[in-house]
Amino acid sequence: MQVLTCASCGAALPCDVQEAAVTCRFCGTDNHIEGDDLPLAYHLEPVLESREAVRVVRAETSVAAVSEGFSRDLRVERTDLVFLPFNAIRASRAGRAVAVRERRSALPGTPGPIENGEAPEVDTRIVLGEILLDEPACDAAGLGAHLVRFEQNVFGRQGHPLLPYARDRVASLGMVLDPERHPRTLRSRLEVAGTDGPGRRIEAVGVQLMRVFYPVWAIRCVYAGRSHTFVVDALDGTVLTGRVPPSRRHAALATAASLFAAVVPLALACRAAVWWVSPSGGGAVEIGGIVTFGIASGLLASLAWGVSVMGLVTASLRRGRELVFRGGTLGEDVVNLPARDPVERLGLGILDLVDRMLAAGAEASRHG
Amino acid sequence: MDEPTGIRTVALECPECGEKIHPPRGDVAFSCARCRAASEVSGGRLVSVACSWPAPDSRLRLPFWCFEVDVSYSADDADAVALLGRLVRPDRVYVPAFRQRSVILFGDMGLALTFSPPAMEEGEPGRFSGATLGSAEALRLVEPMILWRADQVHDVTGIDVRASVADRRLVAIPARDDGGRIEMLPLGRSWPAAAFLDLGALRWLATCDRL
Repeated sequence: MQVLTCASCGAALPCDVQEAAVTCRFCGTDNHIEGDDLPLAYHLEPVLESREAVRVVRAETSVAAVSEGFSRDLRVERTDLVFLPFNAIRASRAGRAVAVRERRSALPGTPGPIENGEAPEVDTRIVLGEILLDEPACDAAGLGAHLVRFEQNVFGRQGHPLLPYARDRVASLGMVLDPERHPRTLRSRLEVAGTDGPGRRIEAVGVQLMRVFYPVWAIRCVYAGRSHTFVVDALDGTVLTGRVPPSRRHAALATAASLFAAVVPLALACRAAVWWVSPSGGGAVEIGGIVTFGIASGLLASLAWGVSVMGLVTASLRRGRELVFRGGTLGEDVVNLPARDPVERLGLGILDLVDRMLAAGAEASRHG
Repeated sequence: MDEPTGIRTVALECPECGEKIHPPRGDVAFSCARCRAASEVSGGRLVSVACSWPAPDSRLRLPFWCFEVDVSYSADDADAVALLGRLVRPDRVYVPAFRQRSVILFGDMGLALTFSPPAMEEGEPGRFSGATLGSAEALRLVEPMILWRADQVHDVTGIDVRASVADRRLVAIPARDDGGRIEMLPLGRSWPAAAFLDLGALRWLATCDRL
């Protein structure tokens, strides 16, 4: 560990050389630290308390798509406040972007000015503005680090100021994940952003490296004997990650409704086909058409309900299918979970057999 | 315990009166709470900087670097040089010492001060915070700012600008903060709070009553 001394009193500064500003605990002098690649460290204080984060999880999971009773019967085992490290780099940009464009002829097929020997059009734009790049400083994908909309949440949000990183304060609030990458790794991205494209001569001015510790709640709970972990943004209450079992009734109804919606147009198409093939459209044929329509509709409806029942069975057996929170949105995902009991194994075996039969049928039809 | 090479500490004590300075993190230019002198970190130490305090008095002041410049253009196109020399030739260029957001969207505050300079009378010295851009870095933005304006008058392809700096100083522009918008009082123009990247640092003194 490198140790710096206070420029005022000579006391050792209570930090390793990772931050560009530090206060001497002995004399109270603020020390500005000059050197390459020293980031300014900040943290954000959590807005939500743990019980509020749990309440958010219960509210977000009390929707029809989630298994009935999940939010009610959820048993919270532990909640942890975790500070995720983010790296950021920002700078002013200034320079020229020169675009060389070929002038095109107004009329297709006729020679344009280029062909006539005229110079291409050169357009110069002056680039002036700020650039801000950020990335998670650790591989905490499971904790939803990649889902935190860092730039918007941290720099754009009013009322949540970046506070100078105080190790003791942050450690008293929760766990701090150690950063695995230094913000200097963002310099290459900054250079690319400044020089990409032909004719760009843009330089970064006033480059500032930052490290921000962002608070999230990790909530571990148990439902129906299974463990579920949710990660909740401690600033705005977004459920970043977490898996929940889907509602079987909801899944079955959704399957039935979608199949029913598919059957009705098919039945109408059959009815239209009967009218079309009828040579005279007379009464006998009409009666025959109605009978045909009834039979066709009945067959299709039976098929639909049969498949619906299969869907219900499938939904109930395939317990590996779960709903997943990704940055506040709830989507469906298939998780390869091991079968739990003999009935489930039997069901999965049947489904596997059906899959193989369908595959064999498709193969046979492909070969005539 | 060896002192790390290439890294040095600068005690934030006013170079004029020795008062300790407690700025928000990231600041590189400061004002002293006791003597109101302005200073910046330069060459591994804190050096005094001339500072103007335009009237009226205000708790919130926005720090700008002001460079007195002599602008000249050079290009093959003599007509363009003459046109730009007549229309885009500011005497002073103001560069914000703080960070702005979405200059394209909100408009650059430095350009507004530079090319619509208001009459500013000197007021009482006060305090400012949130100056995160040093004068050396700000100087690098002077010529691009002039070219930005020149590009609106004439295509600047092949045109070079040179700005000889005669003097530099900090100007702490008084501003009114109504929460959602910040108005630069001498200019009579306001920007949304979202246009300021480090609004917390700029409000550091005004909101924390450290005056």
